[in-house]
Amino acid sequence: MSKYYKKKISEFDLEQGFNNLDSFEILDTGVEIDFDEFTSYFQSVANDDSVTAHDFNFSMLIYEAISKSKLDKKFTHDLRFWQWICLNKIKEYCLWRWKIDEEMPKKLNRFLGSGGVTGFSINSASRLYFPADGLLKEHDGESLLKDFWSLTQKELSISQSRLSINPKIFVALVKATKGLNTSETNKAIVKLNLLDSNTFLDLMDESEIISLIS
Amino acid sequence: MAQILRFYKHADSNNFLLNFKAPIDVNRINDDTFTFASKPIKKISIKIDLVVNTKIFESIAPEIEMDVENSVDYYLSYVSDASRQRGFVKFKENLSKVDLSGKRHFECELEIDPSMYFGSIDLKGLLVRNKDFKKRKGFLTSKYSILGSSTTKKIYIDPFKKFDGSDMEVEFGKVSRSGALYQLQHSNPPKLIINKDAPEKIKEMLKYKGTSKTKNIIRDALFRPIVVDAWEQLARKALEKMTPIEDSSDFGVEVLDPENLEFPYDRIANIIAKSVYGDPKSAVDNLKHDIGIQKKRLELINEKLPMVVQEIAELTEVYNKASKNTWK
Repeated sequence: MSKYYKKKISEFDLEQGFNNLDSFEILDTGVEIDFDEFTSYFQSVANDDSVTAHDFNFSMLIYEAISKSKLDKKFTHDLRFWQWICLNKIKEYCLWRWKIDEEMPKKLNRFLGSGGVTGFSINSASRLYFPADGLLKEHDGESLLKDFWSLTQKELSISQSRLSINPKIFVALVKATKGLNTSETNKAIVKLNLLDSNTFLDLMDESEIISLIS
Repeated sequence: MAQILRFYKHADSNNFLLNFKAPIDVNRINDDTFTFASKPIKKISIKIDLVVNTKIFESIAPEIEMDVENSVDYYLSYVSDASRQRGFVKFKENLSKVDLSGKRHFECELEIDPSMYFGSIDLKGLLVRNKDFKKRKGFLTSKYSILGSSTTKKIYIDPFKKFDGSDMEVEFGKVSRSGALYQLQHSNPPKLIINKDAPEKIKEMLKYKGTSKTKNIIRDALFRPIVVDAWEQLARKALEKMTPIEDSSDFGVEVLDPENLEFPYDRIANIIAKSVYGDPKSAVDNLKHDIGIQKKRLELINEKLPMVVQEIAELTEVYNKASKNTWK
């Protein structure tokens, strides 16, 4: 059964390492999530140093695992669930992806996330899930998701924008920046962030947002 | 951004009063900030009203535009970063409220499922164009343009916790360097550990709870620089937590808002912001702006912070008391 922590875990809780994970109280989500395919893929690439090259595949795999489980959507908004996933189901992946030494753990926020939209893009599991959740419903979803993960800076800039919480704006941003390089992508995002102060973007439909930044 | 410079007509927030009828277990922190006493268990509905001063229409639209009041709609925008939720609700006018001073009254309800929300929710009333008008210099005439907005009201779903420094625990224990007198532990709440192997007289002084006025004054005066340093360490940690992962000066990567930090660093960042920048309404925006630019961030950490923490910890006041009473 998949779980979530009763209380959000802080960096201080993990400062002494991962040995005391059992001391944190957990609750059931009510569904089983099968991480076998995610784990198998990880094992097949675990010796590969080019970690970013696999973001797209991991993003697809975590989304498929969670979608198939019929998990109540409310848990995807809850960092306590993502913390449990990172610390219990994909811990080895997190260590590998961020080159973290288990004996001297740093970058603990990669397991925990933090508050805010940035927090979800820092947590190693939710950062993979949300882009797939937003894009794979689109007609050319896989291609958009691949493009999204093609540049680290692009992924960071889009995911960490407060506007990207709105799925329509997120999809529009990815579509409008498809094929663009880092600098062009940043320009588009800066433009949209500036427009946010005088245009009610949440009310607009996707094509209208794309036309604003294209 | 520290301040939005507008090159077009925009109604002042004083003309949009956003109020909500808070459920009984909501407490007021200040005019714009509210908190639930405990996290609600069941779904809740919050009634929100917006009072708009119609005089704004004389300035926010071109003179040639007739009937601008029918070219706009009123919305409640809500954003909760910590819950990854944002959206809007359209206000409906309450025509039963007649106001002779030229104000219109609007109402809406915001449904909140507490199982989907964490941290706080920002609420803002917006006046938005619902159709295009001919372009005119100095005016926003496109559909979806925001012609005016209220101040942001924040409501904490997870109860707001205060931190003023007095919550910091002080205890004697082992510190990581034997020659050091103290060490700050970044726990929740933070803890100040005084070296248990420090000279006995120092420990005796710091533990002193007697009635000698002179001893109390000396103890407080000698301890105060430690408090100053502890504040600086906490502040540095809070600023570090707000700094984006990728060190970048572009506006595409956002600096974390203090509200998105874990307790007590959220409160510490807010205190630092208000102490450094003054005006509570723009202090956090100014802090975020400066953190986002490396040069300004270094200036803040290396030059402003060491001074500001002295003020927060009231170093001068404590030294003044000590010198008045002992330096005769």
